[in-house]
Amino acid sequence: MVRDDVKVVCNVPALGRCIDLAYLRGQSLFSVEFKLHNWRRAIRQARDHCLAADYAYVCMPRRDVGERMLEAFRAAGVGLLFYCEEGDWPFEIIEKAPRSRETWAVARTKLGDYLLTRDRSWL
Amino acid sequence: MSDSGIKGFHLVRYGTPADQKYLARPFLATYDQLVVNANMVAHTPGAIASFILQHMQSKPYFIDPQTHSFQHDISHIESRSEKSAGQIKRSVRKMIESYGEPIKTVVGRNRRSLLPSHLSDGKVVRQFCQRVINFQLEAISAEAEQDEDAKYYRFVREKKKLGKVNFGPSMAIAPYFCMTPATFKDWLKVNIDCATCSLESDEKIGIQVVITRDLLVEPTMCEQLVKAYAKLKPASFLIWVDGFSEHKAALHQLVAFVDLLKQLGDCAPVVNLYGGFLSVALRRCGKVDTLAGVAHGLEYGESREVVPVGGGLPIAKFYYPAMHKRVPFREALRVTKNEGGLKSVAAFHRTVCDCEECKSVIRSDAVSDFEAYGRTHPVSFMRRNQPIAMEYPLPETKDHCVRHYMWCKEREYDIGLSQDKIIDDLKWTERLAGTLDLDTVTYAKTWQLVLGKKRR
Repeated sequence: MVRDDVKVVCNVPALGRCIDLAYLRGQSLFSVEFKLHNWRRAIRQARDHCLAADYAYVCMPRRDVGERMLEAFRAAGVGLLFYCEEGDWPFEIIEKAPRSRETWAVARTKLGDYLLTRDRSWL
Repeated sequence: MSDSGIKGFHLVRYGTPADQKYLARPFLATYDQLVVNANMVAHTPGAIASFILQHMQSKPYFIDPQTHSFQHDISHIESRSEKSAGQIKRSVRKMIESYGEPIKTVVGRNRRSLLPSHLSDGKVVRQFCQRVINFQLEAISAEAEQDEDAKYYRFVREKKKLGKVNFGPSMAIAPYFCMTPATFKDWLKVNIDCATCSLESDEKIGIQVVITRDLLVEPTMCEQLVKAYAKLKPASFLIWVDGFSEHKAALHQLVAFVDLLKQLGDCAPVVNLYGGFLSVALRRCGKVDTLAGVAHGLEYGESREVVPVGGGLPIAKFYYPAMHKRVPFREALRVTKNEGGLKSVAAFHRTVCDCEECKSVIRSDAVSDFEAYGRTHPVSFMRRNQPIAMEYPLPETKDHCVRHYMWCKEREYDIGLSQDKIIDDLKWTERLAGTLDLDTVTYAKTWQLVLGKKRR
């Protein structure tokens, strides 16, 4: 994810939740919640990220995805990613996240500032 | 009502010295009576006496003697501070000194938990009860009498012909112990003995009944309990069900709770020592007419575990008036947005809240002003070898939330909501399942069933 056009930070606090990974690409803010198995719990957490980010995703290892699971993601307004080890971008989009309709300007600004000031701070 | 020792429906618990600023003005007139825990009184009797005398305008109060704290594992009353780790907490040591035997030897010296067998001798029980009652009657009043402001207070009272000054509590509570299904028989006998001995005194005596949630749903035991307590003639019954959250309880638990309130209420006025809006609604909707009072703490005291449990990470919570519930700020934000409450200041005051605090906080731009109830600072730490970042509420965030909570409580208790408004609120909350989630709002349906306003 180390690219010039992306600002990225891990473990970002937002409205009482901890976003596993957040990144700024262009003018858009993305949140990513990582989960190995429990996608329902991941959706619940990612849904809260919609209050701060423009797009909220859950990222999981490659797995079978049923229609019921995809429907749950769509209903929550959350996207689904698979983790990819190859290439220069670690995510494959399985279900594209719609732009959040819940974003609260105050939290979004805070998240954006956090990304700008702490870009790659884990490195 | 005055004979019950309960001076009004709205009781507030004094939790820590930090609560003082929310118990005095401007909130003083919003509640009727104060409940103070014995450990606080033992810790700083002078400070509490001064506070009651100088800032509370002699607000009626009573002391919870917390005798149950000696029946649990001793570690719960041990200090965890670096300096005195392993020693019994200073405030508890003072309670032990005041309560005397058998606690002094069993807990203070031998460092063992108190057992029912330690209170099997009638003479020991009688003397123990007398000391516990004396502590409540004298701990604050003796200090208040010595306070330098007492003479002026007495002068003003006498000049206004308001009668004799009494710095004592409105009633004393008999020693009590928590009952579980496993220990029910043993502790019930001790509790009844303590209550009977205490009632022999000339003082106004309240009987505190403390049970676990699993005992609450044991009909046979509850029947025995009511039968045993019904023979007593206390000023009032004070009920505490261990960790009983009205928002989380299942329907059968709430029904059992209402039954217990009603049955004890047939014998004497009852008080729910840790209650929320459902308890208030039970009285407003005529479901439990003998409910003489409901006590709560500052935000956190609508349910309480008998044995203290860890507090967890503090998060900013906003008391959503129409939900009658404290919810994480992000949930309050989601509901407020969906209801159009962030469109303007007027919209916020109309659809969410127009209490004194909200009028002062939400005044120029609802979108940004609302953050005052959720402002935090990030803190990073390691958990299970993983770096974690969390947000902690700022002191001013907590302050806004507590003030807002206290104003909301005044409306619920004192101004009074009509039955129709209560049911409207619960129906509205039920519909939030799509915005929040079912677990968060399912109590609204359960409460309607309990209040008899909805069919199963």
